[in-house]
Amino acid sequence: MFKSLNIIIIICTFFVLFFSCQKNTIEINGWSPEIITPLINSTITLANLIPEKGTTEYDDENLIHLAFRSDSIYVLNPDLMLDITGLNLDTVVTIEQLAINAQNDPSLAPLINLLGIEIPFPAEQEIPGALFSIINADIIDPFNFQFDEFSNANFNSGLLEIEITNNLPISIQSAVINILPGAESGIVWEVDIVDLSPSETAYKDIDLAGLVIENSNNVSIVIETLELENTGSDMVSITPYTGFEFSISVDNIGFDNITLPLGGDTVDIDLALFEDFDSGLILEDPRFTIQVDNPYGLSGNIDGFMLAYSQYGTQESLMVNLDIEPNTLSSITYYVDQIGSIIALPPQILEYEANASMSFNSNDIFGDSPLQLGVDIDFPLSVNAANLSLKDTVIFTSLNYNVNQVERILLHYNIVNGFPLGTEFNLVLHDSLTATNLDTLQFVDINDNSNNMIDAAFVNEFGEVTESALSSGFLILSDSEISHLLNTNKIIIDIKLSSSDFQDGDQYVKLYADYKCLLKVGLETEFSIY
Amino acid sequence: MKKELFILLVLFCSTYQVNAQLNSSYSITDLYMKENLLINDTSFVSVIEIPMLSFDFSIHSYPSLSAFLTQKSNAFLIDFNAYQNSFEDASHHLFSLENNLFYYAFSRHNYIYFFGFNHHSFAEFSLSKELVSLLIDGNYQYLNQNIILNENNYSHAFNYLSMYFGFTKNINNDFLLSSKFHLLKGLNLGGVNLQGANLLFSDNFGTHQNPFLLEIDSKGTYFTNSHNSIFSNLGVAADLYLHYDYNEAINVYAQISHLGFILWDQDNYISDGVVTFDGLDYSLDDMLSTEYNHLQDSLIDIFDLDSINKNSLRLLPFDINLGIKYSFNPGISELNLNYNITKLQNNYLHTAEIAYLQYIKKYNFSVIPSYSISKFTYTNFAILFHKKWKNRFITNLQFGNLLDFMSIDSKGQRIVIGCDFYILF
Repeated sequence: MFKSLNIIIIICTFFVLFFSCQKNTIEINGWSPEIITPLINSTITLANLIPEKGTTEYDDENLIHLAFRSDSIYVLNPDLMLDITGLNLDTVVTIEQLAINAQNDPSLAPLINLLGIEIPFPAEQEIPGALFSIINADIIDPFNFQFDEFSNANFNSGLLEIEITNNLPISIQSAVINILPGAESGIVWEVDIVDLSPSETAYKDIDLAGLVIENSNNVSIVIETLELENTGSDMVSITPYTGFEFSISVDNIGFDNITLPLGGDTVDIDLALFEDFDSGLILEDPRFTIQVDNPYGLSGNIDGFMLAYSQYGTQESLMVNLDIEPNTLSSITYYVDQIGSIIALPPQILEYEANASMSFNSNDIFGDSPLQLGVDIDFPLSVNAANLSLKDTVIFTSLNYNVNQVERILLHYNIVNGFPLGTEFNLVLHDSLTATNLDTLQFVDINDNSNNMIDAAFVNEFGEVTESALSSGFLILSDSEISHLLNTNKIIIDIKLSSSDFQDGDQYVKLYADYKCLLKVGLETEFSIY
Repeated sequence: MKKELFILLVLFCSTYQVNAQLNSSYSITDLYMKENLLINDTSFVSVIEIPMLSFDFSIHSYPSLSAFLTQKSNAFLIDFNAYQNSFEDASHHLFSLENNLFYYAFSRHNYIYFFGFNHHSFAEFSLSKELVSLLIDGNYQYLNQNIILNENNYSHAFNYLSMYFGFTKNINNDFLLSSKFHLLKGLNLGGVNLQGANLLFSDNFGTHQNPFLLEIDSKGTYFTNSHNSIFSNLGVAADLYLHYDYNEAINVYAQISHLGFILWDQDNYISDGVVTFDGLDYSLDDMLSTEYNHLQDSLIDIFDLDSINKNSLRLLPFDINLGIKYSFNPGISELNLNYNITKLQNNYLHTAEIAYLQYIKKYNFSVIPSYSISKFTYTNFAILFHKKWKNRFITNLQFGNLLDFMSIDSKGQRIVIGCDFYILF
């Protein structure tokens, strides 16, 4: 009994000791330091915000230009010109093709089948000669030659040579063939054929001097009448090549005027030129140059138009007219008076169309060099009115700090603005994981909290910065802003530059890539550690 | 600051110190100078202390631990605000632990010879009001004020082994002399000294500068022992005790103990950099993390500690006791007045103490309450219990800081626990 009591006491003692041995922890109380510390001196240059890429260029003095250059937005190769001056067209109408087409004709198809004509044609087969009696002008469709590159043409010389060859096994007793150079020209060249034996060719020459073709770029050949020899029941031999052959060629061609459509299009501009600008942009010296490099002896001019639409549908236009001189580089430049309104849109959609009217003959086209149409757009950023929205990002490592321990955060700042435009400076706290903007911290001038536009730097009469402007203030972050600041993983620097505060309406300011804005931030915070 | 409250101390008090505070009377002397037992009781020729069971542990803290350290359930709660509000010019903390590993004394030809080993750990830690306030309340309060850290910002700690031997002898009927010589072997040393460091936090609102500017002139040193080989960090020390019987009732005595040094083979790391930090310079062409790393590297370079290895002679925290004892009834009741001077890092601690011994013959038991006052500790009550078992086995148990245990407010605090177990034969 006594022994058992001892065991019970030992066990109870063990449990009491075991459960009374608990690990002590250390907790902190009453530690709420108020800390001030310099945080960051961030330098933001215009080069950061308007980087030199695409249509943005810096000149030797770092003045920013919006520029686009292309010497060959349209290229007229000599091959195309020689196709016109050395026109040589051939076409063939075969009996086999007519027989194939007749398969769809309910009046002719049974007859062809009855006579046992093999389609497609073998190398050679015999058919009754009487069958040709059913071939007349009605079953041969007109055919066209299309010249895509040209429309109107005034000929001052040229000889059109037409050849018609009879490849039938029987004679053509008579035929009338009309050649129409342009549907609206009203001109009909008639070729009459009489007793053209098999394998014989009929010729016709037409003088093109003084010919005017408008609104057309094709030649139509129409067989008006056709009468073939009647051989009765005699069998004749036919091949896949049996039919008619037409050849058209020109020689010694010359144009007083010929119109070359340069094309047209509707373009959604990626706004590479203007993407950072809001409407109302006024530049001091923009230049839009069109140039033609003409290696030929031809002359003429280019007429066109450009319609520009803003994203709000506002339209502005530019009419283009440029003379083309022989064997030289011709150009025309448009200045702010002509293109200022387009720049101010800024354009989102461009519609353009142009034609070249040229005068030349076959001797004027020589060499291998093409005729090239180019543009040179140069907009130096010397602005009178501008609203630029510029962004850059800073990858940030979220602090993962216990927000509940932060009592307050104040961001004190001195902004040394070297930009010659009023500056709205915001930091967008972004969460890239959810692709959402958590918050926006706005830096405002302490002297005018209602205006978040920080004063522009001082400029001289040439629009160049002479002295930076200083703005100071502080941001008191709310609890949610503190939370967002600590949890953001990307900070988007959102800067809007504006000329709205210009007091001198004629003031232009130049935007140099090395202009900089200094954001100097110090931290004042209090947190409780526990 | 109230000078009278300046720091404290306590104990590197080995038994010697404990007893010095109690001492002077014949029997009180017996309590802390064990070899005296052989002089006063010739029926025994030897005394040996039970190895490993004797120790003296003390903590001196200004402010007192109870001022900022509380316990809730299983958690120790440190209240930093209470800490900084509980002292004026500088906080000061001392820690001492002495383990008596072995002690043996024997009597021969009117001499008492003795030798032994012990291990002593000591740490001292002090922070100025400015630095504590800076750490706890932050630097906002010091905006545009120059902070110069004074000599009260330091810490050091060391421990060593001591092998000692000595003798005690009655020179004549009136004088008793005891001396002890220590051979020391330093084990570990470390410390920091921030004296002379200068900090300035200033604002630049409405200027082209960063809104805040931080200027630090670091003048910090950190030291540690570089080797632990058996022949490194050696030292010597001596104790001396002189006792004079003015008459049967009145005795006076003087004692100096731990007067010595250790020659440490020491690595000194000195930071004497000046840095002006006005924010992390960053441009959008840079990677923020890269710039941060550059800043970090720059700061490391500026505050890079120059290492100097040299032998450094460091005095031990010796102490001096001067006292007088009056016996109301010799062997039964005594009154002891003691004045103690203890060497600290930068100054001396002065402590006055009064102790009273009452011997209860029936139980062969003595109780010795004492009260001491130092520059800032005025509620230091201690008590020592002495019991002789079977006339040869002796136990001493000491507890200090009794009033603080009862939660009476005290600026500083002294905690003392000690015990001795030894046998006469």
